Amino acid sequence: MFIHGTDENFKENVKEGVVLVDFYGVNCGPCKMLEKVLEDLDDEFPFVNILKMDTDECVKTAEEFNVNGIPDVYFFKDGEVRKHMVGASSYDEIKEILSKLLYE
Amino acid sequence: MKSKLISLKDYKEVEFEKTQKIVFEKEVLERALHRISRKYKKKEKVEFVEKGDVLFLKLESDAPKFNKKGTMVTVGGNLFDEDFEKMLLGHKVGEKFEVEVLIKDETQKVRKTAVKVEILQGQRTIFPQATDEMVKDIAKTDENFKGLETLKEYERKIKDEFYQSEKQNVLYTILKEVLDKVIEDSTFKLDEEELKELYELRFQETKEILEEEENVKYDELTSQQLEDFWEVSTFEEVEELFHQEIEYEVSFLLCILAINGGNSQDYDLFAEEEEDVDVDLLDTKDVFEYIEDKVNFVFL
Repeated sequence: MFIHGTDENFKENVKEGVVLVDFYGVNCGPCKMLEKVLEDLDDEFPFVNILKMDTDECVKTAEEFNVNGIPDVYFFKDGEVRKHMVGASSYDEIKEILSKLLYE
Repeated sequence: MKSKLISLKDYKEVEFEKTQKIVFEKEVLERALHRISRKYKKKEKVEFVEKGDVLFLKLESDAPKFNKKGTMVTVGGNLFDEDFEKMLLGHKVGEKFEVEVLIKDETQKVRKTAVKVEILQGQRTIFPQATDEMVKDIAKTDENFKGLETLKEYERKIKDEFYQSEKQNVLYTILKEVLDKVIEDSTFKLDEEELKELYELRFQETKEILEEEENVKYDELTSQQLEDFWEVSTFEEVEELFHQEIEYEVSFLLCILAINGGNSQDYDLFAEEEEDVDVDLLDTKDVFEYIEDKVNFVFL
């Protein structure tokens, strides 16, 4: 499920369960590639929460996580960062990480 | 650079396949059509489980992964367990039944275990067929599809994009093969001290990246992690890999500098700032354009 992230709702949205946080930019090519991957993920696994953080809008959180290159993806489980990836990742890479976080 | 190029293989003498076929993958069109129809997707309740259904399951077993009061699983998604998911097909929502699965125990030994399954809920996503109206809709919001009005136009655009993208992939693959052959057939005098210094620099960079991005110290990596990162199982193999990559890197630089008319003795291998590197001297453009000129593409 896609969730529109903001600086205000960020902590609340990552505190429980497995959440994929996508820091992105509107005019970023690799972010658009990742967006397609995340859409496919959402279609197949609608129970995975995907928190979309526009780095132009969510400046405070982006700074807190030292986001420089985008897309910048964090995988949270119960409020803690469990994995971090920079750049457009493949569907299979993301699935592998989610599989471990959700079920192991 | 202290390392030297002794003789350079002419890249124009390297053989490669001049006719390249690119076959359109039907799956690409299916995904593209799916992309425009997903906005109109609907959900419905499931009666009998099919592939793609999202189920809310209660599982009981002596294996922790299969012992959950409630867990969501997409059947056939292979995110939970491929074999187990197949066993759910055809069952009814609300049904209770037992299956046997293979698991790894604490000693990594594989054994069978019984799992009691209850399908608490099921949901199916229905994606409608793509239409001209959907194409017009996406044309309003996506610059890439601006001006498109029909499904036929959309399909043509997807095919064109695919062919162009694959063409680039093929050309870059040939470029790598040609450059690898140039390096293989050229001769060098590599400076051992220079290689050692570069090796230590790259190794240190890698260790820092591991700590920063993966939260793990190099020396504490397990065999499995070595396998995941480098497809080897020992530290010695990792180090050997780094030595080979450094040798390749230096050999590549010597060749590409020579192709571009640069002087390797003026090139600073350890330049820290990007402004200190003349990127034109490292460009493979000439070789790429030569290959592009020679290759004939057949689009199927």
